[in-house]
Amino acid sequence: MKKAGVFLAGLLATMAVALGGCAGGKAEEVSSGQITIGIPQDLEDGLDPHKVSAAGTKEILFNIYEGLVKYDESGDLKPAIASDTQVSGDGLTYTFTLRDGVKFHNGNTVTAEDVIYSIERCADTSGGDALVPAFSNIADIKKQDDHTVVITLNTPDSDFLASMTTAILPKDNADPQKNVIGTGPYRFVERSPQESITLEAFDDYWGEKAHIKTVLLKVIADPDMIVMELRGGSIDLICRITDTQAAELQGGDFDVLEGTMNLVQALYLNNNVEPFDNVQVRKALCYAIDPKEIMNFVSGGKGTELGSSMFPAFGKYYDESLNHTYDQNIEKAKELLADAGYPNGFSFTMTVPSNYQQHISTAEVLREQFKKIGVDAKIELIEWDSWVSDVYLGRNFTSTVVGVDASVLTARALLERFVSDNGKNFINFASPDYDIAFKEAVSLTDDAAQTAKYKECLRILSEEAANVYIQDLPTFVAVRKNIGGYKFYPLYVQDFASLYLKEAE
Amino acid sequence: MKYFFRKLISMLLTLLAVSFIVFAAFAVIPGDAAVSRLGSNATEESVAALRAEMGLDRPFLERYLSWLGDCVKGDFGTSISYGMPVGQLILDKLPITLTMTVLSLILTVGLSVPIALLMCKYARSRFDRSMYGLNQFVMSIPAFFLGILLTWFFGMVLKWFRPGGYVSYKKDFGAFLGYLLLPAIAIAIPKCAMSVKLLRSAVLTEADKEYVRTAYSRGMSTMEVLYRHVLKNALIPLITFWGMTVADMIAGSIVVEQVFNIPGLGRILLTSISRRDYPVVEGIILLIAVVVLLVNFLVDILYRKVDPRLEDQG
Repeated sequence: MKKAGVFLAGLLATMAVALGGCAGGKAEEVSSGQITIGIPQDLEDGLDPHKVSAAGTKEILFNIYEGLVKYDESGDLKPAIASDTQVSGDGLTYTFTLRDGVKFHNGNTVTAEDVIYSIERCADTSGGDALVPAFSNIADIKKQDDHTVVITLNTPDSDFLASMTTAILPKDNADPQKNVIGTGPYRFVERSPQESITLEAFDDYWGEKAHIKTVLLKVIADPDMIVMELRGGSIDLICRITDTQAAELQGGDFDVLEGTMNLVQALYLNNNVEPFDNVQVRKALCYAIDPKEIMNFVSGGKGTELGSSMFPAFGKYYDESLNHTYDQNIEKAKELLADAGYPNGFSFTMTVPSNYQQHISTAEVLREQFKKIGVDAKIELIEWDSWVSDVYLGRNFTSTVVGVDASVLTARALLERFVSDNGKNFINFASPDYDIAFKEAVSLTDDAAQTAKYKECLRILSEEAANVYIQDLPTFVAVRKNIGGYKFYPLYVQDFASLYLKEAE
Repeated sequence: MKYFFRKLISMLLTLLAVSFIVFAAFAVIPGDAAVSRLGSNATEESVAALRAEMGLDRPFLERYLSWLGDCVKGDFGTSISYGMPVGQLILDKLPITLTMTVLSLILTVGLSVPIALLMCKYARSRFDRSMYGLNQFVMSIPAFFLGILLTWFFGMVLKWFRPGGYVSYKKDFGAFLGYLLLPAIAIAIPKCAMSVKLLRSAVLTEADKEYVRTAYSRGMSTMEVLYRHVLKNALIPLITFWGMTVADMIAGSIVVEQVFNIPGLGRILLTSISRRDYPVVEGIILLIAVVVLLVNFLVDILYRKVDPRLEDQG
């Protein structure tokens, strides 16, 4: 009881601060209050925005760094450091006008030199690939005047603008890993490894300032502690909780919001390995499964069924009819297996990273579903690092259950990896039709024609049964009732600047 | 003097061996820091480039020697994951693990001495026998399991304690100590049981000696005799045990920190192993090794102080 009293007092104090902030004048202008947000892991790959790769790190850095343009919550690109973008008719020349008076967190103004430095840093190929692959297409970058940067491409690339979300860093920062300086609505204050990271609203932000002054990110390594930490008051908000946790929190001090994870969960098949080098076998597996049953088991029926490598957040490309390419049909599956020369089925291994419970649960249902067509699937759990080095890079696997997301919000980011000679094509998918369709799609500048081509790519993936597609997993966010403004994005980011503390009723 | 010198050389050799074994272990296990950082965005080229940037592409022995050279100069490297110097990172986390260890040591010594003496005073009584039985039982419970039981009882049933409600020592030292009390108890109880057992038998052995009878004959009470005269001699074997306990507590805190969700050295060590952040792992393991060696060394010295006869055998 005592604890609750203390907590309530704390809450009132926070509200009082919030109200005080409002009373102090223009409520919109002043950031006040503090909230604690739970994160499942520390930002272990560092804070240099050009070099991090973990989705969990990028989604936090979204608040600290910005590019010339940035995504809004509907997935559209809007102006950020550049107030205006002009693209020439041939699609080769991009002219960016820098917004007046955009400040870095160290107080310096963003200059055309900083922009050029940042882009060149990511285009540099001296260490192998460019940090941002799309930048290898840059023929020339130059400063037209103090406020204008002009970039010329070798070949037209309709997705180029998406890559301009790349963070702009000050050119005189020798070590971005140590000195965290961006232009975003929050600035980095301090961190204690495996414990917490403190962010504070940036007073000189060019746009609408963050409402909440201090955001403390608390590392919660043990997912079983989440509900307890929320209830105990040590965190106010946490994303990506499970369906069970969401049910537990229902009706308490928290609002539970539902969204999608925006990834393609599938049983990814190594198309080079027997028996999955045979398209009939791959099709048989597709006919054997029922994504609905998996969704029921893994997340209480929530989630979105997928039939190809695209999730519904990309409204433009998502083709629902592909979900029905293979409606569950055990007889058909058995026939296909018999035709392929496996009348008595076969056995294979599903490799699953051990840190993702939802993928493990999915694999368990798949195993049962495959039994019905006489296929014996074994589940092998491996550490995430080994997954990356053996399965992903080494391509040394038969099949694996994981979720693949888009690094940037373009169809290309999801579909490029299935081109037969692409470095990220870990399933060794090889279809000449696909390669041609993809190449055409990339070269087209007309949006409608391009969309149609990407849709054709998706149809080929589905018809060739490249993988056994399952679902886009659901995700839940728990938010304390006194906090408002949470926004879901169609990509993996968390926007803290839109959060605000509600006034006491 | 000769003794100290010999001891020092052997300590340094041990540390050298430990650091080499850790380094070698990282060379053998699959995956490295580059693969770990790039995750599913990795390509053969990008991994190779990052390896080169991190200096992981150099031959094993060369990397080890350059790391060793820096260590001698007092530079333990930079954490790959957190980008901060390993020394600074350890200093940030050491107070947590150290406080927990000191708290548990205080509890172990503070509880075991009076309990053991009381048991001796009423030796072979019903109290003594039931305590003896309880002791045997408690001794065999591992600290982490006791931790789970305590969390459940005080956290879920009584709600005196909020699991996961760890507070940083920089923010509120009182609350920090409060949170560490329960884990310290979990670590201390089995150790306490062990010390009670050792101390009881040591005291009872001493109690039969002649100087004890002399003390009684001077009209002292039982407790007075036990505390003033017997305890001093009976503590000698306990010093070794407590010395080993400290080392054991620091190493054991790794598991207990997981149970209680404490972001101390143990948590850092575990995550750094899975991230293949070898400078951090080396730093923490060397620290543990140094503590173990130092404690052993101190125990040796204390021994010599308490029992001067050992001096000639050095």
